[in-house]
Amino acid sequence: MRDLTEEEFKRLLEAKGLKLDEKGFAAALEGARNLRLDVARVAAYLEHHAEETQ
Amino acid sequence: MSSAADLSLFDASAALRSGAFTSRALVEAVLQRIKERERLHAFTHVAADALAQADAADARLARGEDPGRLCGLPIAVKDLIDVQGQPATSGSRVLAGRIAERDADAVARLRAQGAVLIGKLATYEFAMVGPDMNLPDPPARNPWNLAHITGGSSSGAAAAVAGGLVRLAIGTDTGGSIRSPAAYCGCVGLKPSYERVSRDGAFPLSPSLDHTGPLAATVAEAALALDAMTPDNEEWQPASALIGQSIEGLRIGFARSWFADDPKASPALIRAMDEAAATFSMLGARVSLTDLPDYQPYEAAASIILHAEALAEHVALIAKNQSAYGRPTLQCLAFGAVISDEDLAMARRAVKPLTEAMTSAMADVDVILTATTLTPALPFSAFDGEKAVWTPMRTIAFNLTGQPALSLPCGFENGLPLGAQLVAAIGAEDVLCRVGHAFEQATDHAVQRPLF
Repeated sequence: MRDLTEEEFKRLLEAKGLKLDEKGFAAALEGARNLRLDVARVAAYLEHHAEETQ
Repeated sequence: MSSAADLSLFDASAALRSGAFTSRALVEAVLQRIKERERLHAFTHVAADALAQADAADARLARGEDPGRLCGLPIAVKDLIDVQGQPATSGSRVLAGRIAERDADAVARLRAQGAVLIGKLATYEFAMVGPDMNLPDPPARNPWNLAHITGGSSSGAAAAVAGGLVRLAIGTDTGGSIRSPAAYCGCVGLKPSYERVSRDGAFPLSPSLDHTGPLAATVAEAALALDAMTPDNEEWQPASALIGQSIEGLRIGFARSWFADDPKASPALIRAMDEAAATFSMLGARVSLTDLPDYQPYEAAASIILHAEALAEHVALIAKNQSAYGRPTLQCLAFGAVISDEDLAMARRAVKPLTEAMTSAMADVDVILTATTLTPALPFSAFDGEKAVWTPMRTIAFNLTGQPALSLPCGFENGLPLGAQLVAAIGAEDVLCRVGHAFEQATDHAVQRPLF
C-alpha cells in the first residue's frame, strides 16, 4: 500500500473544513498514515477470514 | 479511620440509615478532602448545591423513604456526562460556559436513588486524547506520583477515586478510558456490556464503541454503581449478585501471551500478572493458559471506526469554532479524514468475525485474565503538548466485541500501580465481579492508598 501523500491529505482535510498549521499537519499526517495502515490490516484480515471460511 | 470520606459506600450507607451520621456530615468530609487534595486537579467543578442535595437525602431517610443504597452518598461524574445545572464542557474551550439542562440518563438514575452529585471530573478533551497542558482545566495528576499522568480519558475520575476524594465516580470508555486510568491510578474500573448503561447525555466520541460505567475503590462498590445505572428489566443479571461466592472450580483463561509477548510489556507487569494467575489458582479456580486471537485486527478495526465516527460527531463544531480545539485533539480528529465510507463499512463488517473469534477463544473458560495496560503511567515529561502519545494497552478489543471488562489493581512498579483485566461474556458482569472481588479479598492491592 503506497503512503498517503501530503497533497491528498490536504485535500481530505479541506473537504472536512479542517485547517492545521505546519507542525500540526505533520503530526496529523503521521497519524493518518498509520490509520491507512489499519485499513490495510483490516482488509487483509477479512480476506484471510474469507479464505478460511470457504 | 481518619475521615468519613474513607468509608466504603456500604459502611457509609449503613451509617446513614442507623443515624450514626448524616449525609450532610459525609458530604462535608468529602468536600474537605477535595479541598485538601486540590493538587490532584481531579475536580473541574464542585456542586454549589452539594450540601442541599445531602440535606434532601437526609430528609428522605428521616421520612422513612429508601430510594436505594446510594441515597445520601456522594458520587462524582466525568465532565463528558451531563449533570443538570452543572458545567458540561467535555474538557474543551469549544463548549466553554455550557451548563447541562438535564441529567444524562445514567445520572438521572443515580439522582432518583438519592445520590449526591458532588461535582464534575477532569476528562481528556472530548475523551479524545491527552494530557494537554494548554487547556483551561489542568490535567489530573496521578495520586501515586504527581509527576505522572493518570491516563484517560476518565482522568479525573481515576485520580479522585484512587486519591481518596470519593469512593465512586462515573466515567466513559470508548477504547479503554475507564480501565486504563483505573489501572494507572490503582482503582477499579468496570466497562459494562455494550448498551447495558445508557449513553444518552454523554458527549459521543464513537457511538459504536462508547460505554458508560463506574470507577470505584473496590469491585463491590463498582458493582453497586453499575446495578444502580442499569435499567430495571430482566435483560441484565445484577453485577453484585454473586459477590462473596467462592470461585472454586471457575475456569479462568490466562491470556498471558496476549500481553507478555509484546516487547513493550514491562517485566514487573508480567511478574504481577503471573502472581495474579497464581492467586486465582490458590483460590481454587481452574487456571489455564489461553490463546486469544491476534490483537492487531481488533485495534485496527476499532481505530478506523473510532476516528471516522469521532470526526463525524465534530464536523459541525469544527466548522463553527475550530480555533477553540486543543492541538492534539484537532490532530487526532483530522486522522478520520482519511477514512472513506467504504473503509468504515469494511471495518464494521469485520466486527462480526472478530467477535465470533473472541467468543470461540473463550468457549472453554468463564473469565479471561489479561493485562489492562502494559506499563505503569508515563511521566508528564513524555508529552510535549503538540503530538499525541499512545500508551500500550489491551482494552479496545472489548469495546469492539461489547464484552464487559474489569480492571483492578494487581501490583506496583517503581511506586506506580499496575492493572489486571478480567473479561467475561456479554451480560456476565456478575461472574466478572465475583472473580474480581475474590481476588481483591485475597490480596492487599485494593487497600493500598497513596500518602498525602
